[in-house]
Amino acid sequence: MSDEVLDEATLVAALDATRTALEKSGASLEAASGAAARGQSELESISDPARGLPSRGRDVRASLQVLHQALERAKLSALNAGLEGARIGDPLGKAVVDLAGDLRELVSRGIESLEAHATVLAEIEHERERWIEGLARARDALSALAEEIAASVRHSQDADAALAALQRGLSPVLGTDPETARALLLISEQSSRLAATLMDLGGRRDAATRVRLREALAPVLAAVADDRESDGS
Amino acid sequence: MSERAGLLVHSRDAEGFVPADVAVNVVPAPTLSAVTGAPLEMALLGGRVLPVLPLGPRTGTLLVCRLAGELVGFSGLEVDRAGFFTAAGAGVLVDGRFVPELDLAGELRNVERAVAAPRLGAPSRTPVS
Repeated sequence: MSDEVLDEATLVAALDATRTALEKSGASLEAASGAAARGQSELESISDPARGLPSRGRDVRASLQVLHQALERAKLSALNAGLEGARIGDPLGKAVVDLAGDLRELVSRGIESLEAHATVLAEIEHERERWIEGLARARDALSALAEEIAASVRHSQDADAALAALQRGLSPVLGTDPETARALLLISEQSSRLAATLMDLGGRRDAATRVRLREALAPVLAAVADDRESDGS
Repeated sequence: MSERAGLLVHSRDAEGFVPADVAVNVVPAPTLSAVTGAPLEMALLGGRVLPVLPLGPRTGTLLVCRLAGELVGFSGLEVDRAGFFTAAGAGVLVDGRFVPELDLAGELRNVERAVAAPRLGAPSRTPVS
């Protein structure tokens, strides 16, 4: 095969291989675009319930406030009951004072626990705000990624179209099509390897080996002979 | 050893004792209105106007006392507990330490004097002859 034909076949085969690679790249980008869209959808589905959390947090805070006020009133009532018991005097009054004191102690512990819960709630709300902000940032980042992928898909499609046009333009100039170019390139590679193998066999060509070699090369020799006859006719 | 019934209170860092025959009850602090030209405030409590003497920074409660047959409120106090305490001079003993009785009547007299005293620069009420 002449160098010129080989070069042309190589060029056409390279163009074809580039188009194939571009098609695969385009398919990967489309898959990535689909994954990005699914990711956006997932983030939206997570974000929707998160938007309702602030109002629920306010409801809980309001409930805790009402409970706190009620407990403070109960504490005052226990104090006043103790005062009445003190006014009543010994012995009944002492029992009332003791009972009121115990009650006030219990209510005070309840208030302390409630205040601890309110602190935890505030911390949870703070974490929730950070989480919501993080979700928003993730959503924005994913949206930007999806846009970039979509742009890459468009560019890949443009490149594929340009290459196809280039191939169409080159084929008449080169006088060969991609399939023929691939076949010629394959033949060139295989014939180079065959020649190398024949060179290795060189010193070991006894009569029996030569017979078997002719049998092995018979299809190639027949094909080449057919071509020569076609060229000749 | 005799005992006294009453309330233990504190204002800022000072503790005090209020006898049970003086203290009426402790209520959530109502809205207080200042009285112009007098070191006291007024509150509406149970449909009645109550004079309130501030004994410290406002807290969430108001101590209502009966002094000379009249109800008077005292703000700026935190009530710690009610009960019976060992009598000790002009106060009580609480866990071994002396807690003086608050002179609420004296505080009220001070306010009454301040209200009754003529203001500086105010025209005297001299009848014209």
